[in-house]
Amino acid sequence: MKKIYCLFAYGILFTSVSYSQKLRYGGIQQLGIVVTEHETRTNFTLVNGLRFGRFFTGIGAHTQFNRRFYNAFYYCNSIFNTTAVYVDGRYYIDKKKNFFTKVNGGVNLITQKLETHYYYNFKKRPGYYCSAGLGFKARIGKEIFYSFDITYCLRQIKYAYKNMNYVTRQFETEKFDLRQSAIIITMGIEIF
Amino acid sequence: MKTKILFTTLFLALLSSSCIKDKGYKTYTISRPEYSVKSGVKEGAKLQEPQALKNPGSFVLYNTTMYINEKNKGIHVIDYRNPTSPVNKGFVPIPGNLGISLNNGVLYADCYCDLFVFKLLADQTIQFQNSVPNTFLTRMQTFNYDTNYVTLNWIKKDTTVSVDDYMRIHNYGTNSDGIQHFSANANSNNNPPRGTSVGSSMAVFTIVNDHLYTVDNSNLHAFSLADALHPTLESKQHVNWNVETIFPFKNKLFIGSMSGMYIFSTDNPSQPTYISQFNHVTVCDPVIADERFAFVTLRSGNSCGGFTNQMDVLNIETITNPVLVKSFPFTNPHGLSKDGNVLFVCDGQAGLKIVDATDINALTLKQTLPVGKAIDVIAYKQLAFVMLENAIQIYSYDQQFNVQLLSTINKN
Repeated sequence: MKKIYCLFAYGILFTSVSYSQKLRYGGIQQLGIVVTEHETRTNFTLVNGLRFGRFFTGIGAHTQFNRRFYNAFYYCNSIFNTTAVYVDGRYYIDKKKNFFTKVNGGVNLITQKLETHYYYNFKKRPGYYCSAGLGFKARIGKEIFYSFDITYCLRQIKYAYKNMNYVTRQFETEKFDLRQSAIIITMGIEIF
Repeated sequence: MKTKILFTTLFLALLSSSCIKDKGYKTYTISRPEYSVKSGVKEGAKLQEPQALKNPGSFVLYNTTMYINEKNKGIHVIDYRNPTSPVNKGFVPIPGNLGISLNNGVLYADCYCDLFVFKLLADQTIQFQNSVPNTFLTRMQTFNYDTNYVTLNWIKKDTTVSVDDYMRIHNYGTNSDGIQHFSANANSNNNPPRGTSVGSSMAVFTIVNDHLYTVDNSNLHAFSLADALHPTLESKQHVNWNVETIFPFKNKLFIGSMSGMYIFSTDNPSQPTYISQFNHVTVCDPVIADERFAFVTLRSGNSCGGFTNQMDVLNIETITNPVLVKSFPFTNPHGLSKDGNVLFVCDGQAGLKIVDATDINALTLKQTLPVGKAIDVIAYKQLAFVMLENAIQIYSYDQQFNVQLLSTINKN
């Protein structure tokens, strides 16, 4: 949770420091697919931030949706709906600001409700999220752009599973650390 | 320029597609059993040096002595002839022990799936006499194929493996090394004290009319104690899953489970008969009863689940149809005990609560003792024995709700 507060604090700090300079609001909403080792899933991305020259920085959220439900005891990393909350940084490569590179870093949180029973329960823990990608945008209106990007991301899904060990007849906690590397292809609109 | 960027993007996409991977790591506890041969356990089951209380379970009172279960380890014996200065007499190591009951100088205790029988001797020693093997089948150590071995302890070690590896090597905790043996015992014999022990609301053993009744996770067992040193299992019946406690009152047995309270009749002592039940939400629920009312504490928690923390008072005058009179909110109620109109409720971290139960419809909180986490209590002959998380306290009380601390036995 501290990480999330730090991210928001960073966003507020950046906004206040840069306020006097030539800043413009930028908002990005995108839909896309996440290609993982085992499956392809849908995602939604929302970024709000500030543009300054060729730079853009903001706070983003990236939600990855399940298509199926798996038994949480077993493999694999992508069984839960997760949302990454991160700092988004972009640099527009060309003068026309059509092509850009981007780097994201933040925390990844399990957002779906996990099962709880009197002899077992799950505890969500924050993991990391980082990504880097390339993309372009094309004007489709006065301040509206079509955007497309390809991103390579590393996402960590962490949770603890407390259950009764029927051999020892004691409660034990198992900690899961699931790390997923994936390609995210997204498209949507940018508003500047 | 655009062509270069486009080709760079496609190249990076193709390159990274070979790097998409799901990797899972699991940190879990490997539990390795430490065994003893069963004959060694029987030989070693005698009063030994006092040990610190670490994880106490239920307890009973018998002839000015407290017998406190150390979960899965054995029994602490504490002499309270002088309640202001109780003496820890020693510890009887019984692996897998959860239940204790005493009758006419004979102590009955479980050792995993076996029932052990001990004789109390006049010199205050405890002598193993007999065992009834393979009685409590839900506590059978099915992973242990050699029934001559008893698990004494679990040696724990955390380890982290990849999930793939874990699924492949999912066979932890089956090593059979670390066998320990107890030393031999000395014999003596004398006349035992008479009477039956008084159990707490969280007890799993109880004795009524020369019959020992026990509950395990799901079953009610009835043993005849006609031959006290050679109890015989007369019946076993399924009650429900997650049965927790048994409390006797006259010819009735009140059984607390996580889903409800069950009432059995002991009119036929060999085969208790189901009379009725009262269902509630899934939580932990010790129960006590008197002539007219049953008091059921419902608590939530990790192992209990649920979100309910209250005490239900049930009217059991029509024993075939217990009726909820009223629910009273508590913080996290555990064990309870009632003597006359004085009702003691262990309310977890909120301490010990002393309640005036004169008017059942309007129970009045007389006093809260901030003793730390209160777990279980027995109020008996103007003495209240309170099991706390880190100590045992003995209080004197009267029917005017005057309560005074007499002594504290720290766990260490």
